[in-house]
Amino acid sequence: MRTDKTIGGLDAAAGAGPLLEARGLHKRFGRSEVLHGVDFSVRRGEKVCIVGPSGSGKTTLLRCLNLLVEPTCGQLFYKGAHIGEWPGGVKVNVGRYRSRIGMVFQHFELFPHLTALRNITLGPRHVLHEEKAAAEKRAMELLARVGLERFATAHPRTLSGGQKQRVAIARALAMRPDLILFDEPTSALDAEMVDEVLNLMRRLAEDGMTMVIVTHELSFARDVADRVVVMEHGAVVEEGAAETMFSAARSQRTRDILRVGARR
Amino acid sequence: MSSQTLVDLLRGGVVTLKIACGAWVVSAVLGLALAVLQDLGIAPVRAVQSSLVIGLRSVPQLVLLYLLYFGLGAVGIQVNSILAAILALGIADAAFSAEYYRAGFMTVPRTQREAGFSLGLSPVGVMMRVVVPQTIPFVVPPLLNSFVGLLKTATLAAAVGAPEILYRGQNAMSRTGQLVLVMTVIIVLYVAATMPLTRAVAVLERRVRSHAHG
Ligand SMILES: Nc1ncnc2c1ncn2[C@@H]1O[C@H](COP(=O)(O)OP(=O)(O)OP(=O)(O)O)[C@@H](O)[C@H]1O
Ligand SMILES: [Mg+2]
Repeated sequence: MRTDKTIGGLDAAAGAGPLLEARGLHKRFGRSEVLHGVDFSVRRGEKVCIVGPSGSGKTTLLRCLNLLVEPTCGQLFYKGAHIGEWPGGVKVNVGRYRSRIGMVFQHFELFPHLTALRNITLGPRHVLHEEKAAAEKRAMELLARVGLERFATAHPRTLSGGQKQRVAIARALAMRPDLILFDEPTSALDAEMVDEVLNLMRRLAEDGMTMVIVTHELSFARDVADRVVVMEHGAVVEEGAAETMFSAARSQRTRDILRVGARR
Repeated sequence: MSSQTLVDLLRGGVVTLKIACGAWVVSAVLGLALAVLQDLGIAPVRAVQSSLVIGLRSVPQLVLLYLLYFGLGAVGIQVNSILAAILALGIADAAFSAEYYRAGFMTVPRTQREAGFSLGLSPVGVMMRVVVPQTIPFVVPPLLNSFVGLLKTATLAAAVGAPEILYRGQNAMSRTGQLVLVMTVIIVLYVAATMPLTRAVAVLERRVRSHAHG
C-alpha cells in the first residue's frame, strides 16, 4: 500500500496505455536542434534500453522525460495525463512529477556533504515528508539491498565508484518511483566495478521495476531489455523488441551500432 | 594610565565586540538571503537586486549609520546607537557577504542541482539542502575575514555616541591628555584580538583547499 498523498493524474492507476509517453519531442539549444521529433514511450514494468553514438541526444531525451530540461516542442503524457505541451509549458507540479521518476546519473551525483544514509533519506524526508525514523529504517533496508549496510555513515568521497553508484540507485529507490531513468550508469566505472552495478540493475529488473536505460553495455541490453531504441543525430533510427533488434535489425546502421558496441 | 581608564577601555572593547558580532550575524544571514534570492530570481528581480547590492557597496558605512540612527529618529523610531551600528554595518557588509556566497554557489556543479531536482526538491529545497551546505566551507574563511574588518569598522559607531572602544578612548584622551598611551593600548587590544582570527582564517583556508582537492 502506498501511503503518500495523491494528487490528480499523477497518481491515477495506469490503464492499458504507456506509463510515460513523449510525442514529437524537439529540443533546441540556441541555434542547434539536438532532438528532431522523438517519439518515446515505456509501459509499466518494461525495460527499455537506449543506445546510440555519442552526441545522438540520449541524455537530452532522458532529461526531457523528467523535465530537467524543457522540450522546445512536443508533448508529454504520464499515466495518460497530460504533463505538458510545448510550445506552452508544464501543466503539473514539476517537483511532484519528478519525485515519481528516479534518475541515476553517469557520475553518480551523490551529495558530498551527506553520508550514504542521509543521501538516501534526503528525498523521503524533504520531498515525501516522511518521519525521520521511518525514512532511516527504510534507507537501511535499501543499503542492505544494494549490499552496503556497513557504509551507512560513510561519506561519498570514501566510497569506490561502484559503491557510489549503488548508493545512488538506493537513493532513487527510496522515493518508491514508478520508473527509473539510468544515464550510462556504468560508463564512469573502472572495469572491475561494472558488474556489481549491472547485477544490481538485473535484480531490479527481475523485481519488476520499470527502467529506461541509456547504455553502451550491449550484452546487458540483450539480457535485460524488452525493447531497444537506437538513436542517432537526435532521432530514433530504429526500435523494436530486443530479440529482433539484436538478430534481425532492419537497417544496416542499427546493425553497425549494435555490433560495433558489442566489441567494446 | 589609571586602572580606571584601562577598565573603561576594556568595557569599550566589549561593546565594539558586541557591535562587530551583531553586524557579522546580520551580514552573514542577510548576505545568504540576498545570494539565494539572486540565484533563484527571475531576470528583472535579479537586475533590481544587483543594483541594490552595488548601491549598498558604494555607500559609505558612516552614511548608512547616520541614515539609520538619525533618519529613523526623525521619523519617530528611536534606535539606540549600538543597535543602529549593528544594523548599518551589517547591512553594508551583507552586500559583500552575498558575493562570497555567490562565488561559493558557483563551486557546486550544475549536475548536483539536477540530482536534487530529480528527487523532486523545489528550487528553494535544492538551494537549502544541496547547494548552500556544500558552499559553507568555502564561505567561512572570507566571512571570518569580514569579521576582522567589522571589528575595525565598528569604531564608526563612535560617531553616533555608542560607547565603544574609540569613543571611550577619545574621552580618556581629553580627560588625561595621554594621547599616545591610550592609542597604544587600543592598538595592542586590536592586534591581540585580530591576530588569532587571521591565523584561524589561514588555517581554515588551507583546510578547505585540501578538502576540495582531496
Ligand atoms: N545544455 C546544452 N547546451 C547546448 N548543447 C547541448 C546541451 N546539452 C547537450 N547539448 C548538445 O546536444 C547534443 C546531444 O547531447 P547528449 O548529451 O544528449 O548526447 P548523448 O547521446 O547523451 O551523448 P553521450 O553518449 O556522449 O552521452 C550534443 O551535440 C551536445 O553537445
Ligand atoms: Mg549522454
